[in-house]
Amino acid sequence: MKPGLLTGPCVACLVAMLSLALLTIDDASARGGRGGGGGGRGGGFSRQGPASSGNFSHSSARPSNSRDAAAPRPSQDIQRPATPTGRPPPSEITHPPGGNRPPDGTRPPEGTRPPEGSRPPPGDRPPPPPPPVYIPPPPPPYGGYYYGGGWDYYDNDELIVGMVIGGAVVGAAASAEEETTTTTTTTTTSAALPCDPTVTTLDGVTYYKCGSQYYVEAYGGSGPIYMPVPPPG
Amino acid sequence: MKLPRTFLLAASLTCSLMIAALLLTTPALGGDEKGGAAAATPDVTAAAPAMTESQREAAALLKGMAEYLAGLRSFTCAFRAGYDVLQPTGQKIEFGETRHVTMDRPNRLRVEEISSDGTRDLALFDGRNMTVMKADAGVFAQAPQPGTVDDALVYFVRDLKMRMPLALLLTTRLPGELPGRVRTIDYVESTDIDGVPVGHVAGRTENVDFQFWITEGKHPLPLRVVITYVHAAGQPQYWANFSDWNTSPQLTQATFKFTPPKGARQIAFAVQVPRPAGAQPPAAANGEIKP
Repeated sequence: MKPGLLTGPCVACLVAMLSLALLTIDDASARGGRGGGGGGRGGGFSRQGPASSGNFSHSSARPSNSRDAAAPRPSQDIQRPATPTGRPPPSEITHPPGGNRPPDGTRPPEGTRPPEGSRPPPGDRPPPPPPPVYIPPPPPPYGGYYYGGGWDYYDNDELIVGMVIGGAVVGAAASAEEETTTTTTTTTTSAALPCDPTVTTLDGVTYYKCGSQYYVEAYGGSGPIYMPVPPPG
Repeated sequence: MKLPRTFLLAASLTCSLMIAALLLTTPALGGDEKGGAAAATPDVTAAAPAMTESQREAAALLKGMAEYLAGLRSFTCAFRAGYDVLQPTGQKIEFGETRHVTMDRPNRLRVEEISSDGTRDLALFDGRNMTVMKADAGVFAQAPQPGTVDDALVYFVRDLKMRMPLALLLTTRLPGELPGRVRTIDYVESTDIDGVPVGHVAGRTENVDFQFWITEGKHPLPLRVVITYVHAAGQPQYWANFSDWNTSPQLTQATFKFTPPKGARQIAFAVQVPRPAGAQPPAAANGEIKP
């Protein structure tokens, strides 16, 4: 057998081995990402993203607390009606000439408006309103409910970490300052606990403890998740 | 041939204004909350003569579908759906699910889901409570929710942060919602899906592009929808293929009765997780958890 005859098969074999190695690396890399796939054979691929909502609107930079009126709103929120009348939201193409400004006759004349330079300096301005405390909203009443054009947003579970549990803010966004002083507070929800937890039931609530961190199981956007909570009692 | 940018902008604006004119001059699509199926079909041709024939046809088809869906007292259907998820590696992965919808207006809805990974979910509105259950995990959550399906869907998606793809199609306010969203729409072609003649329309809102394949005739139902999230990284898509439409189903009380499986545990919705009295912020933790 001529040595040259081995060249083709060997090269093919090497290519196949390299391909397998690369695939393995890619797979490992994927597993390192955000997982969440169901079943036991999943590759750890994330199942959540903008398209998983299946909604006819999308917000990529929506604040986690949807009630935070002080937070900047994404551009698409211009579709929300100004009042909870249920009317369809205004849009660019439906704005009357001049927009929603009041008629000229009803606006204060230019001379009565405070000049730009007369605004109090930032230090003297009243403090901004406190961030609203998220209270689970009551069920909407019969016959009407705020019906904004972008109501069918769906926030990923990751964004829920910004919520308020009871009256205390546990969210990542709200605890941004805390993060500068302590890096030990867990704010990320997850589909599984990181340990074999110690289970405690108090006042009908089941707590799972990993290390010093307590969790409760709750129903997130796509199913049960574990949420970090302050220690009970 | 490359057109000047100013020309394209002017053309786009003109098109948008024409769409607005059509939508706003048709009561059911023009913000009339009482529209729904009860609204009379206007003469769209006379309403917006500046629109092209294909644009008028597309708007009329979409409006007809919206009114027809909103006017149905009850229906059942199924849809197989898929959606892209852009991974941190940049790889785009498609996941899927099948949903079975049972609507009984004004206040009852049942949606059963089987994800592509085999897990099963249930969402149930019975006019008094809303319930979600993941049977495989043996858990469910429940919250009081009197009122209509429309109200329940808003509460479910916006306030409870729950996932309900295509929720907008399930509301009676669909005809009233569209004008505020649709910026452009046009007719792509007449085609068929599994032998059923459909009109393929494509439109754009401020932040998504959408396409519908709508059955032609007196009963305009969606057979396929594709939504492209144009501002999201990777422009992922959600698609759904509908089947088994039944607009006069025989429904019973049992359809909307929730009986927890034996051993199932009730948990709170994530947004309603209570904090125990006197709780202090955790002094230490194990760091972030990432599945």
